[in-house]
Amino acid sequence: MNNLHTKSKMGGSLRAGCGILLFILLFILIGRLLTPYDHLSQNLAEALESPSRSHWLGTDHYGRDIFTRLIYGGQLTWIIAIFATLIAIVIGTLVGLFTAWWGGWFDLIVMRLVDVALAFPRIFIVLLVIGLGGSSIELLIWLLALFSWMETARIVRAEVSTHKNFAYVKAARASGLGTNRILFRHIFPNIAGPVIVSAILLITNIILVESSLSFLGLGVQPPFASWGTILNEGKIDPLGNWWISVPAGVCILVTVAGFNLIGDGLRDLFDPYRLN
Amino acid sequence: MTFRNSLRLHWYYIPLIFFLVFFSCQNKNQHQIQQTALYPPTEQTEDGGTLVVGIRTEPETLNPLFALSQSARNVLGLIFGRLADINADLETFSPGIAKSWEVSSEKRQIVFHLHQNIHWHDGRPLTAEDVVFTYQMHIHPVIAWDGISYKQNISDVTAPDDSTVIFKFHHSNHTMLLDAVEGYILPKHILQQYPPEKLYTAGFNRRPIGSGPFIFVEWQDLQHIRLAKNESYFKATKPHLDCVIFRIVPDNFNLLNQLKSGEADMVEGIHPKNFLAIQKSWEAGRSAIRPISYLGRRYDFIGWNLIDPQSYAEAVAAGATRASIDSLIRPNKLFGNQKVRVALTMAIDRQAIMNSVNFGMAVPLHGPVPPILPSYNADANIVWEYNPGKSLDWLAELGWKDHDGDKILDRDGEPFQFEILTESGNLHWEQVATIVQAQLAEIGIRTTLRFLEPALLYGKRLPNREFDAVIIGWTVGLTPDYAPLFHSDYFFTPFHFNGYYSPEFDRLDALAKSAPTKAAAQRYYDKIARLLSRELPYTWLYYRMECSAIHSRFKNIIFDKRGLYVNLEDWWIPQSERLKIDRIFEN
Amino acid sequence: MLSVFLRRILSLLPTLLIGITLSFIIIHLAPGDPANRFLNPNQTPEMQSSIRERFGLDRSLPVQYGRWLKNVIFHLDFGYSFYSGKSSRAVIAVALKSTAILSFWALVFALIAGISLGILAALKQNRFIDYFCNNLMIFFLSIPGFWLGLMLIGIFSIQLSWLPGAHLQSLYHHQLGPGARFWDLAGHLILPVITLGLPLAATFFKYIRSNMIETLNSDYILAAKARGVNRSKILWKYALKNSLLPIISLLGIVIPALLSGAVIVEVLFALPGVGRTMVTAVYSRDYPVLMAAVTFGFIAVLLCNLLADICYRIVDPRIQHSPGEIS
Repeated sequence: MNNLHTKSKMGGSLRAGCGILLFILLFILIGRLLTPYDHLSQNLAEALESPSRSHWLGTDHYGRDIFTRLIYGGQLTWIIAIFATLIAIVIGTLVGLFTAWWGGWFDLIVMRLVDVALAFPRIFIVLLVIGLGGSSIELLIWLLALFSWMETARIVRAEVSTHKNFAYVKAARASGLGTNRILFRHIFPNIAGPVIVSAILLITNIILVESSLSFLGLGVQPPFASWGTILNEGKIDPLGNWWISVPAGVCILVTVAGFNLIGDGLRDLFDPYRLN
Repeated sequence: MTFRNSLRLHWYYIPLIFFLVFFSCQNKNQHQIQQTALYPPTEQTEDGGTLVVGIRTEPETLNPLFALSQSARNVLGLIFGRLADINADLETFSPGIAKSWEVSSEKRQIVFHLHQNIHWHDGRPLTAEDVVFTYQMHIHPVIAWDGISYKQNISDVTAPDDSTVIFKFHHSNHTMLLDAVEGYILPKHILQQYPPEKLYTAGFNRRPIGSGPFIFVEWQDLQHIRLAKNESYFKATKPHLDCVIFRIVPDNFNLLNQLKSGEADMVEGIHPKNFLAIQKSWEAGRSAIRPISYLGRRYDFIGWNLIDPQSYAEAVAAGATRASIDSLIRPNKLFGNQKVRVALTMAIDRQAIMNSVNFGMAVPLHGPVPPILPSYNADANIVWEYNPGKSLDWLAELGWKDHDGDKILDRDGEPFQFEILTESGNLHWEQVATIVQAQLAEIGIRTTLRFLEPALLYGKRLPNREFDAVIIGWTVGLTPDYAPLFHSDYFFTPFHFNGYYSPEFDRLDALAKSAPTKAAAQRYYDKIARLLSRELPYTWLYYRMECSAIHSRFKNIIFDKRGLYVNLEDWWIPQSERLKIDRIFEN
Repeated sequence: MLSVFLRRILSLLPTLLIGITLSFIIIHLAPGDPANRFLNPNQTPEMQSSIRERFGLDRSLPVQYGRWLKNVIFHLDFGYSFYSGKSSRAVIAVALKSTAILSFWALVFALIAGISLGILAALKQNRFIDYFCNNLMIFFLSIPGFWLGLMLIGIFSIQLSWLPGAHLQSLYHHQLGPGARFWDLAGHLILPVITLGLPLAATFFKYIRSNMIETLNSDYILAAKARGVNRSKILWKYALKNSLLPIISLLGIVIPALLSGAVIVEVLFALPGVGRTMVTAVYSRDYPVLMAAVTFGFIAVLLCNLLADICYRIVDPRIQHSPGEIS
């Protein structure tokens, strides 16, 4: 009985998460139709205005419309988060698949490297960002990915280790299929669930890390902005000019919450124990 | 060749990076006021009380030989003493450890007579030996003291007896006294225990012993530094405050919060926006926090790269010297032309930048001489006012027009575009850069911004001339010296990053330095100002006003271009206005 | 058991060495020179080289590394900070103390809040309180840490003046009596501990809740119920124990995250911790301090993993040591 209840509730959180993200996506994709302003053009005469009818969310230090900046900022935030996650997932999955499949010394050494990578202080992202000469968006994406693939690798490795002993894999092996074919055609579809769940968790993490990099002044370079940079721009007078940072913070919060809800729902759907 | 170390990079090291370090102010006429006393000096004063200064960065060391950061220097000024202290006119001196001195131009020497009864904080007497030892440390190659340039004209320092010191010079000039007194006097009996190469890591650096009005008490790492009043200070008026605490708060928002909640009494470098709010509530009588603004020591500018980076790299690789500059270095394809620099300058609206970034708390700057110096002459500069139309005309004359209709100027199919660098984490410069970018875009120039971490910007890109334009600022010393920035002698040094080369400047600079009198030197400084403001190796933007705030219970505060710490030993608090914190650290 | 323990410790050494070496390379190859801080237009070439010599930067990188490693292994000497001239070990030791205090209380807070709410939500599954807790925890998981900190300071420190927003103790901490000192410290810790602990509490909450629900529905609990075992006994003796087990292994992952999450909290609340020290060191290219911090960081993380692993074995003897398994 209880199980059924959980299902329906978790289905609810999946729906709620999708709804929220759909709304945010619509906002950042077609929101620009709602605003007459350009996200980059400055109007110093109208700097730091509080929300009004002409500027729904007020203006920033350069007189740029915050509402418009949020729309474009959201695009960047999403692009960074999605690409970094994709890269991390691809790396993690490949590492996990092959270490589990080949095992032995290869597995031992690679997993030891994963240990090192996991123990690596995250502040090294900062060192690398500044050391490599500022932060272009591509660089940010790669660095964020580089510091996030390990969890996925572990999950995939654990899953594959289990699946290796399942009958369908043994059968595939017996029929002489190649390693790649078994791994990608047979095993991978069966473990895609946990990978997707870990991707969702990663994406929330990456959005938050990206925003704290911006807090350290290392995020996207002006005049462009992600939500993190906009949040950071309101730091001079967070109480006096609340309209700069609060909406950006809410955007991040809502987006991450949306992903978390989906993650919860999916985990429940894919959870092997609960399916039993 | 002697020269002054008059300019240092804005070197906001440390946590700084994240925390907007902002300086500037309003009231455009204030720079004419030499000195401001917040209260008329009073006869009766009351002893006791505590001052808590909120600072962003922790001093790296409290050894005057190695301290570079402003926060360390502020603390050192209270713990240590100099032979004599410079006055607000930046020309005359008041007695310090030396009670009197005789300057003799013919003999090229200065004789200092020290106060008789000066003691180090540990009770040992301060003698002429300490002064001689200090000089030896200053010029020691292993120490590599930051202020070495002051001592380069000095040939010898001797102590005929315990209270007399004689400085001998190579050449006589008008800066002899300044050269001699620069640098805090160090305790020989302690520092001689360390070999010079171990001094950098000496325990003394964390527990300094000086001779100044305040005694070092404790240093809690990353939290605070506490000083106490020196009861046996050698001057007639002893310090009034019992205790001075420097409290380290890296985050700006939190620092201001501390000021409002009374956990800190004094904060410097407040963002103009926050400063205006403090001023508003002070004027409305709603707050005991008094705003203080004055023309400080910083200006910001756009530096253009006048030379071709590749030719510079080749010249350096080929071991070029000053003599081969002309033959080896090619001018920059954009900024090598003075007309382009003038056109770009006319396209930049300084006033708009000042209003937006500094909230009006700055004065426009058009030439190299800082307004706080006696040698400043506003009429000497050529002023290129904001005039985008004229700017476009000048560029059109050079062939830069929007031929293909993409709203970007171009010439021979090449669009007019370049990269502007600035320091990352310095929100102030980031804002200036963002506005400059928009203003240049107005006339059809495309720029990209790149914010670089200081180590990379000052350590790599600028010294290697790998840049197009840079927005940064200088902190000005109390004596003018433009040679490290523009003289060809310095062509291959890191600070001469824009590659300006002009025999005319070299000539004027030499004339100004060898001028026998200040009046004669002034003529050449005016010519230098005229030359540089016409040639525009920099586009000077504005000179900042410092914004500080201090609790109103402190009386007898004097501040001027030397800063807020000029007379801290004279500050006092009336009994009636004391707070809880004033009684906690009573002696 | 002991041999397993020793084997695990030995197996950590290569990991540690790889990590440290890699860090050394990254740190030293990052552009920017520590000697640049002393840059000055009047510097003579001798002065420049004497500064480089002071820091040992005149040697080649492998020599520097060899020297550093030798001093660390034989003398536990991490060198002197380039920036302040202090011993790096002392710098890190002081910073570790405050980071440890902060992380410990954040962990305690997160464990108490996460576990109690998790159990509550599991018991009241699908009731209002469950939904409420769930959504609240998603909120805490999703909020950017520094924003939460800023808002907490804004509300509780500035607007209400209830709690101090900075530092670990008052200026007059040492003038206070022992009791008052404790309260002084506690008052200063509340906001940073909440900022650091809330997302963590949410993580614990999710684990506990789902584990608890799973355990409550598992066969042996159902069997116990069917046998008529006392409800509270089932809950406290069986269900809770099994639900708490995964938390131990979670700790191995959580503690490193805690240490890196502390950076922003330490900067925001002006706490003298490792994170802030490291950021400072990164910007000034203070290699010795960075390396000392990294080394301690690696050791802490690896030890936590190990301890979690061992605790897990002790509590749940079903797990057997398998050579290929590295958790």
